[in-house]
Amino acid sequence: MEALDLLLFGFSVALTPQNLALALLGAFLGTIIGALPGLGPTNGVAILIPLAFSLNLVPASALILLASVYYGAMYGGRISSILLNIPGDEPALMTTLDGYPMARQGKAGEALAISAIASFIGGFIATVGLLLFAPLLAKFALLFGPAEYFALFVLAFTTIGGLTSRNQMKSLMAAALGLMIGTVGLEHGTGIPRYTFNHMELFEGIDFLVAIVGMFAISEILFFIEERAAGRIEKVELSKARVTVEMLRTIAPTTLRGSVIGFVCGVLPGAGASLGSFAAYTLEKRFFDRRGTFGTGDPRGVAAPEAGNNGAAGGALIPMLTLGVPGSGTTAVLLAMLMAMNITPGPLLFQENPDVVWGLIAALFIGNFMLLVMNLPMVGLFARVLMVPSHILMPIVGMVGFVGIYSISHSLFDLYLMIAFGVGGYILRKMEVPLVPVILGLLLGTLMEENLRRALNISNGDWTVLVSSPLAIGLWVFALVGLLVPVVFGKFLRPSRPGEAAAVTD
Amino acid sequence: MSDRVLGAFALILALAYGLYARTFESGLQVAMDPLGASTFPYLLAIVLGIAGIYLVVRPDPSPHWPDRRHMLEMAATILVLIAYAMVLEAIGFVLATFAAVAFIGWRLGARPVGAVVNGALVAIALYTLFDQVLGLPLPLGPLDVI
Repeated sequence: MEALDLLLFGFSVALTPQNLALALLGAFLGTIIGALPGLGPTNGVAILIPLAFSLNLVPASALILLASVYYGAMYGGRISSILLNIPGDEPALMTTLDGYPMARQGKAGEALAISAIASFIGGFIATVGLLLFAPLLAKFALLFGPAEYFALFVLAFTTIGGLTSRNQMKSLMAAALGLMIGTVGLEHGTGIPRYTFNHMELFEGIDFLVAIVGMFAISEILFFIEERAAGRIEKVELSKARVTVEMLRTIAPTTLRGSVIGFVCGVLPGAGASLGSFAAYTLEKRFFDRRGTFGTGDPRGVAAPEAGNNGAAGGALIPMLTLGVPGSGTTAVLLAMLMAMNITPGPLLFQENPDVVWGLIAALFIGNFMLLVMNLPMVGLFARVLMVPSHILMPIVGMVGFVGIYSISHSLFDLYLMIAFGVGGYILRKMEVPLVPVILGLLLGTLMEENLRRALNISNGDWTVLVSSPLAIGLWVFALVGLLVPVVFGKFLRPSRPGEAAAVTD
Repeated sequence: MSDRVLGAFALILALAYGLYARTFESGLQVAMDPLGASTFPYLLAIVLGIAGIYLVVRPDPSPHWPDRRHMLEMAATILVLIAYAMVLEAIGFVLATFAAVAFIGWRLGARPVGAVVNGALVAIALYTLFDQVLGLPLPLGPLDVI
């Protein structure tokens, strides 16, 4: 079987001592970053990207490191969800619903163990899915011409806000802002400078790593300053975990269903991990919660969203690797890293850089296993990370961001720019304008314009070329559906947030 | 209200961005480059403009903005970060990081002594990790003589 050979090749890449060590380091760092209250996988990966870049790792190794951080951060995220009732990111929100009640009942250890096992199974199933379906989609993607790619990018922007998006116009605004920032610099087709105002620093364009670290790390510090007044959090004591065979049997069907649902959600462009954990939890509650125990500390209520979350994380890598269109915030950041290394994901990636693709898939298997082994006995150690006060932590996060950006370019201009992005990111986040479309716009803008130019060149300037093939028309229809579905069905698809019911008045 | 301001700002930005795009002149013949350098920016300006108008007409409820004291704290932190970037190469990574970490930690609620100790430890630890272990050169400033 072809896939098996390629997977074996992948393991030969991932099992070199250096890559194994990177996977272990990534898993460990990721778990710690995820466990820190308020920091999620996207911030974690964002802060570490410039470092992975300036350490001159080969692309496969860098991707292995960051994908391990990604998986690890999701393992870690559940620790603050369960013990503190503070989700690190949106998908982890669902885990708090039953995880925190379990912890309150003195079953924190069990809740953490269940979530680790469910995460492992979700991640495992998703990685198998990635192995099976990614090559198929990559072959399919070879059919895409410039017009189809342009439509695909539009599709990405209308769906990246996700099916759970609260205000599609704000997602569109974010995408437009990102694309605009992306037009700064010398234009690729014609070579003329745009929006540079004759500043030499702007001729090469704005480095997306600067934007990413600014928007995700620096804005995080500002949020911490604001929330410091919010008061102390009640911490739940960690109990000794007793995982019984009986309990595993209870959660097994839930976990399997959650994994598959999550995986499917992850593959959908734009839907991403939020929908994965939400759909897994909601469906489980609707169809299998016979005694109405969900929400009161039901172990299945922990297993379902964790399996869904990790399933979606693996699934989200498929559109990122095969089409170059990420399905979630973190995969957008991983895409940024690949592009920083001059690797353009897409169907050709599977032919030109098989070591990257298959090494990554093998590393995900290995990293997932490492995480399970690491998390069951060491969860107490990771839980202690929660005790690190933010006044020690946040300055470190900021300084690591500075070092990362500084060591790429040694340019002070980039540091000022990063601070500006931090302030802008804070304001946008505050107003619920999502940041991921900004990043995606900045990443994909050049490619998007380039494909539009090529399509128009082929047709001699006739714009109908954009809708000239059934595939392109299908993508446009999907883009429109993706734009409208959250408006129509949004309130059924998204988890209600605490306090959302209470209207905030002007 | 906040959304209205954001929408109006987006609209102004879209207009300015779109009008500025008119100055881009492609050196190539139209036949060779049917897109030109201005078309894509025009499209973006239209999208941003529509989103801006929408927010002006149908704003979401305003977020809860921090009070004046927290605003000032944030402004102070931003100024410290800017100052950090300004003096980084002059006084070196260790001293600059020490000052920045100590200040931000203090403003985030650490006791002054704790913040100073933490600043020193973080500055030395990060320098050791990044410069010495990972080999990413960082400026030392006046400490270079040591």
